[in-house]
Amino acid sequence: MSHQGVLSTKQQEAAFLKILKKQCNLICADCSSKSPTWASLDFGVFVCYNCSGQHRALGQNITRVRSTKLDCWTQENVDMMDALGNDQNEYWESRLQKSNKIQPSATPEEIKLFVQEKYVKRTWVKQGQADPKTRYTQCLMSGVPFRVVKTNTFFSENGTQGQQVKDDMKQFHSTQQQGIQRNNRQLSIDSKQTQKEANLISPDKGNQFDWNSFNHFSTFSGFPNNHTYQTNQLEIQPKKQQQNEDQSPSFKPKNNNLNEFDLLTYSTLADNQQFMSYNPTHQSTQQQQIHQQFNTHNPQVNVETQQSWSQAQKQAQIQSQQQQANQQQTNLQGNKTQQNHQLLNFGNNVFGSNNQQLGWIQQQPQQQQQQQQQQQQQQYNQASSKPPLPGRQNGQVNYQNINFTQQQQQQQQQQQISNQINYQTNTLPQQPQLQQQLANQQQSTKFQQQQYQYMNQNQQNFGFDNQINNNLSNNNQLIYQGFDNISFPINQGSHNNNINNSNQQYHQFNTTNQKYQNNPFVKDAQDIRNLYNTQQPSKYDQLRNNPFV
Amino acid sequence: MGIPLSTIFDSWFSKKEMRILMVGLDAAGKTTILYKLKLGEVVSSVPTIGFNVEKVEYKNISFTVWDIGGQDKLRLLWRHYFTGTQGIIFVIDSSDKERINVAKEELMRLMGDEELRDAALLILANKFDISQVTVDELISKLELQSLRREWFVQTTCAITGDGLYQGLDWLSKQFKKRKN
Repeated sequence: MSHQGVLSTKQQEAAFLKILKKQCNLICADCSSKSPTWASLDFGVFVCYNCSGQHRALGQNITRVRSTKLDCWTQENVDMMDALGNDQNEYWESRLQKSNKIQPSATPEEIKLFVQEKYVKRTWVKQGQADPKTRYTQCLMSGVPFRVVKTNTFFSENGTQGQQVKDDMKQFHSTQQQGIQRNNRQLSIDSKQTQKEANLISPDKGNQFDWNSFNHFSTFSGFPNNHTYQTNQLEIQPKKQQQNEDQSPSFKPKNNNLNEFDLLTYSTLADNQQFMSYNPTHQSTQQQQIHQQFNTHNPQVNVETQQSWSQAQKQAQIQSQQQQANQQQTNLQGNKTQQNHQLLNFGNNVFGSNNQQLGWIQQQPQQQQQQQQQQQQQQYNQASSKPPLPGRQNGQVNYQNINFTQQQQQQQQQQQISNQINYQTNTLPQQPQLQQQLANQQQSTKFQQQQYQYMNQNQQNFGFDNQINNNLSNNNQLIYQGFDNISFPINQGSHNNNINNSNQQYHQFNTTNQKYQNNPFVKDAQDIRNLYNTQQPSKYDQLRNNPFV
Repeated sequence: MGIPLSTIFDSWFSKKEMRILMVGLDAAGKTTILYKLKLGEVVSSVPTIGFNVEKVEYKNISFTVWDIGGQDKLRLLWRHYFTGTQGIIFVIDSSDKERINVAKEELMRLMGDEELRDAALLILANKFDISQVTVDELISKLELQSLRREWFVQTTCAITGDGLYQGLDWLSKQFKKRKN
């Protein structure tokens, strides 16, 4: 009304009558209800009345919602909505299964969740592509038409048309490289739009990517042949599994240099597991599982390094604990300095606190590490009913334990050793239960215990020596699962012939899951593979492959 | 003896009614404010086509608040609600810098109307918690100094409810002042 360049009512009605007649704009971009009349300017989609309320609730800084009937429009915005429209769902819902989409009967809460997930968190957007409005403005600035004719001009006999498209593409990508980028998203050949512009999508294949023409395209235009995924998201690097037996002695695992972030994640993991099920007999299991989880971030640790690391850590632990002992003799209430030393021991003593470590360290400082840990826990269990939170130990010092006499400590140690033996017998291999559950995730502690049992079984199967150290081998279980099948089949056969077939099957199943668990490229690669396998050769293909045509 | 007493009681305890018109640009938060006042909770609203009316009782005054849609073409309909209006709540989205000029023009058009000559003007600077402007900037951008009437700017956040009742306080004071 008061804007400049506002269309008259008749012009606006005519324009939107034309735009909303398009096939894609017949249903709401979010809930698929019929004849949407509201538009979200920043996402470039038409939505229905109910969804427009949730779009509006996102805030004016994220998107502006206008009605096609009740608001006045400028020519620019009308042009933009004409170019974008609900075709852009291809970008916004690229990775969304249709069954997960909300229905027209969705409640406002459902719509709100969906809209936030779709547009704010951008959960389902196409990777490696700028969002539609950015691309539209880029095209406006660079003068390249946003929509390129879909006909296959690049390979047509009329060479001028193809040349023109090629020039346009060069210009387009040069503007890309000049840095008109948003959110570090860069166009790659994965973008449907680029594919269209390069005529890599042939209409006779149902708008699917055409590798054949892509190869032509890349050789002709100099477009890089490799795929690049440049997105804002954290890149999860695939695990590298090192099998080098010669590790330099200066190699330090990540755990030795714990920063604040590591401590935070570490403590939250421990917190969760503690409160989900607190069972003193399974504490060692839990602790080792925490190690497992933690060590999954550090795939470079293997058994050898773990051994040398554990020795070094043992020495460091003893040193720091002696320092603590001295400090406690001088000043019992100097908690803060103790905690600093405690942080040094963090990789080893998750549930231990300084005061419980005092007595037995003075007596037998050369015990095995596994025994140390279990003794700490057992001592701790006797001292208090509930262990302290690993991350938050401020002020949780039990002064009772400081005054232990040596006799008491000796008695305790005997008890602990007996407990420990019981513990080890308890965790001897058992039949894995609920194998299907095992294959899923390592989220619940119940599952983790089962997994642990199963891992013990694996050790026997693969000829591992159980006496080496449960802790050492268990630390790397998650990593081993990836290549056990590959590297140890001979051991499997020679050392133990009594493997159940079911176990083996499960193991293979689990291995595949584990392999693909964190690999972001697997899904895409699989898609491409499927696509490639299912493609039927067309007449265009025959023409292209024929060097004489 | 009984008659004067009853009049005194009436003046103390009987509820006075005040007709309030709440207008502003679209997506400024008018409907959210209305139902935050009425129900005390944030409802998920859809764009208002037409109007919402609710009675809000506060400090012995029952405010009849008319919340009218603020889309471009619905603003032409505001004038049909002017008759008998004692107070105007003009809601602006203080985080929307682009359209503050549009809001100013709409406000000036309202103030030029003859029927609203005696109405008190309360301006709610909504979404102030996420805005980056100060009240002084808002006042200067809306050119409130040029108005020849009493006005009051109250910063609000409709989701938390901050500042809403302070605004009603000012309105009720104006109402009592005008009664006397």
